[in-house]
Amino acid sequence: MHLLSPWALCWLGSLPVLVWLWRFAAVKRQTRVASLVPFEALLRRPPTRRTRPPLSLLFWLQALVCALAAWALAEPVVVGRTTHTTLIVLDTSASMGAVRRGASAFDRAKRALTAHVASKPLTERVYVVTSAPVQVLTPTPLSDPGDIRAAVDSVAVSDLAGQLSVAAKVGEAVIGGPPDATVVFTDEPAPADATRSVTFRSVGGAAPNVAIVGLESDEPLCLPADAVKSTAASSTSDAAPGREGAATVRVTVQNFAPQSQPVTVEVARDRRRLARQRVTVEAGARTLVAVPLPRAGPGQYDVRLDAPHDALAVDNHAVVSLGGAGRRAVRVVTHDQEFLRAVGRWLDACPGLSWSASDAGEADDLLVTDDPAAASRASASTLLISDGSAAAVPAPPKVVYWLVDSTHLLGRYLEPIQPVPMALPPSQAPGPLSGVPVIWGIADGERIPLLLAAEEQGRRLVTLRLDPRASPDAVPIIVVFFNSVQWLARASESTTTGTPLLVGPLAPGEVRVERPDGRIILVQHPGGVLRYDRTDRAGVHRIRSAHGVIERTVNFLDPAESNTIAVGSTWDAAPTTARAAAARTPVRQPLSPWLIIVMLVLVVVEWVYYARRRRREPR
Amino acid sequence: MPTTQLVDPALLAKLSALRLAVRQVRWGARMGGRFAINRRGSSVEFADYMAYVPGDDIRAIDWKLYARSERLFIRTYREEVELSVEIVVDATASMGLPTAGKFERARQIGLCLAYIALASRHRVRMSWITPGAIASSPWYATRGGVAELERFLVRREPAGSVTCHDWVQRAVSSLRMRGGQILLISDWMYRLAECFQALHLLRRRHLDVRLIQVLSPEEWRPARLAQGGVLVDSETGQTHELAYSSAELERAVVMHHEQLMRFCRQHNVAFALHRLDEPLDELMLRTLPARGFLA
Repeated sequence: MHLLSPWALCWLGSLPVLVWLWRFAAVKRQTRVASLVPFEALLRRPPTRRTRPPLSLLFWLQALVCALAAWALAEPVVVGRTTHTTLIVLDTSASMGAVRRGASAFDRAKRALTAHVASKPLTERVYVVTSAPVQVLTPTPLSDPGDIRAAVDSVAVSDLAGQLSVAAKVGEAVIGGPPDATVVFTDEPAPADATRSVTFRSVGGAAPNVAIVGLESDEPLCLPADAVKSTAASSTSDAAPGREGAATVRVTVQNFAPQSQPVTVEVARDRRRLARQRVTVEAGARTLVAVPLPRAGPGQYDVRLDAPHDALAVDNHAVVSLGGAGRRAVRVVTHDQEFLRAVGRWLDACPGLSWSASDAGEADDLLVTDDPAAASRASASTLLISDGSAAAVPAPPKVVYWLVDSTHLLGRYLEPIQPVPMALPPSQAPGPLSGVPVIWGIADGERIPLLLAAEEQGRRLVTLRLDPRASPDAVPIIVVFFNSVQWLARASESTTTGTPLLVGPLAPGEVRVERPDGRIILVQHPGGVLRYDRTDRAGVHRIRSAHGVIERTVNFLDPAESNTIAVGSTWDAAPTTARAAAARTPVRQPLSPWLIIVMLVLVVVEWVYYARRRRREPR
Repeated sequence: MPTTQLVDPALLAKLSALRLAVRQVRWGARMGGRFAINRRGSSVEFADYMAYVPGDDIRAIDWKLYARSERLFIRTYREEVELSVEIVVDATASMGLPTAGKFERARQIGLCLAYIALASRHRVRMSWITPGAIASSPWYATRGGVAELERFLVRREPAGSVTCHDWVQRAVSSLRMRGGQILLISDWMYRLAECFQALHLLRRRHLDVRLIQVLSPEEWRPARLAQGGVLVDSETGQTHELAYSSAELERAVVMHHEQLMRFCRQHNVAFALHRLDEPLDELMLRTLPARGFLA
């Protein structure tokens, strides 16, 4: 409370104004009486000037309202003991958009939350945190159910996966300690290990759903030289059509339903359907649907899925980019001339690639290196080719049997088991290997991962554990090399929700990010690679800068969120400990809302009193 | 029993048992109507004995009774006299304030009194105190006249201004008032000096004068006026800035009322005050009989 609050002082000035108005009204009031005759004795002497304010209940009520308003503007607070603090975690992950019996889980969660805050005691303070993205809706605690409702009404379901326990921990950090109670509104089942202070209000339920869980395009990487030139020329203009060629869109569809469903997959461009495939997907099964496009020009293609029993809409749509990149820039970083020569020969074979060898600067599209340190530093997608031996002379090749995961795009064109002459890397890698193994090598009874694919933070990393100098002409190795280049090149064009977009490098200046939901984000970019983290909506993001317009596709491909039949729990919070002393600090309860309520009541009382008096008074 | 809109028929039924009280009869018995009165003197029908007071006709002393009781009593006889009753209702603008209920109540009182008089087979005429020409009804002598008098009453709304003395002067001459009883129903918001002159004039015309003052509670306790402002006289339009305490205002009203009441007491004029928050039944069945208006 500020005694010298300017608004309060200004409002105090209304009291003299009120007194003056009453006295003015009293002087100017005309009252018709039957006759002045009884008062003739009084009229003979001049009337005395009234000096005191009129003693009217209406006047005192109005004066009280003015005084209360001045007090409310001074923002008084009551310092008292700590009140009950409740942390509400509202699940806003994509699965909350699943519609069951005409209403989405999120709508049911909001209704349950509103009912919960309406029935809570007024002294209870509430913090509300959303899970996807983790966002504190009420940085200051709220007690008024209306304020809490208003904060919750502004929230919508995102296209992200969420971690309830992360949201709860962020909420605890905002509160400054564990809350007295935590209430989670989610579609997830209540975990068995939840503590007593955590209440789960599960609003979900099993609902059949069909989802796009994977999306890749299959088109020639190495175009003829003349085609590359024409594509590169056309890609400088958004409107100019590029070269049209055959491509295949590979859509991985999963049926999260207890019964098989007919599924239709369509590929369209500019709302014009180009191809359609119909398949029947068994219950719980995942199917790869290949949609061939005989003539696919460069650009964005919409992939849509349709199924009779489908609860979630966000996973029925994805966007894939085809043939728009033109020449891809590859940078090779190595200190080994033999390595450079071997890899350079491979890269020279593809006219669609332009490569250079330098140590400094950012890679344009992807980086090829034999240096693990350079691979870890890079922001672009990277192909690390190293067997970890760091030998000056390559070991002699010998026949190694490859076990290939053909379902992965890195394993395309390879037999599931095939012999390859190569130098086997040591079984023990010098450092930790990151990624999912796609190819294993078997030799001398050992099973060694040779090819690993990793994808994190919008960046892809392929680790190829072999020495290219030992067998530069082995066809399977060259196939794996180009599979990797193609897979890595795709990373710059598409990503999934929740992973950042890496664009650039861009010149310093203002960058405009046009989101799929229509919102425009202005970023003051200092230069270099632009990292845009708020990819919580699936769709095409347009980044406008001095360089022009760059389109990046963000797709929602999350089988865990799409699985609305067997929803797993993301709650792994540790049991809540005793409330921290810091959180027990006395709270300052604002009095202004109560004062405003009292003012409104007084105004109503005054109005009723005035109306009744008017009825009684003669006209 | 005649039915009326102004007065509850149940009240009228109760009024049938009442009669106008007559303290002195001088004139006005010429045009019919009978009124039984115990009168000192001689007549045909013995009524009662009364104690002798100096001035009584010694011929009326009952000597036989004196012989038995050794006290002097005179014989009284029942005599029927005829009475003309003038009922005058104030219809100036002041009767419309502070509420229309004041004038309405005055009309009801006038009609009740007229009903009582007609039930006793007296002759009744009703007049308005209004500016301009004297407005009055014809004489009525039967109960059927109640309906006519009600129609006469409901036609008028309070308006205009006239002084009490001026109206009485004109009414006495134009209506040829002489003898009988006159009942004046008003708020008596007149200058008292003029009122007293008017009442003296009526008394000189041998009229048994009776006053009923009708006031609203707001007039009786004018605390609302203490809020100040400008007072406007409803009749004259005269304004005055009023800034007095409620006690001063109340005292002024009480003094006005007491002066009027003192005059009536001194000159043997029946007077009754009626406040609008009192029911009409209370006035007709209790107050007026207690004040000597009705018997």
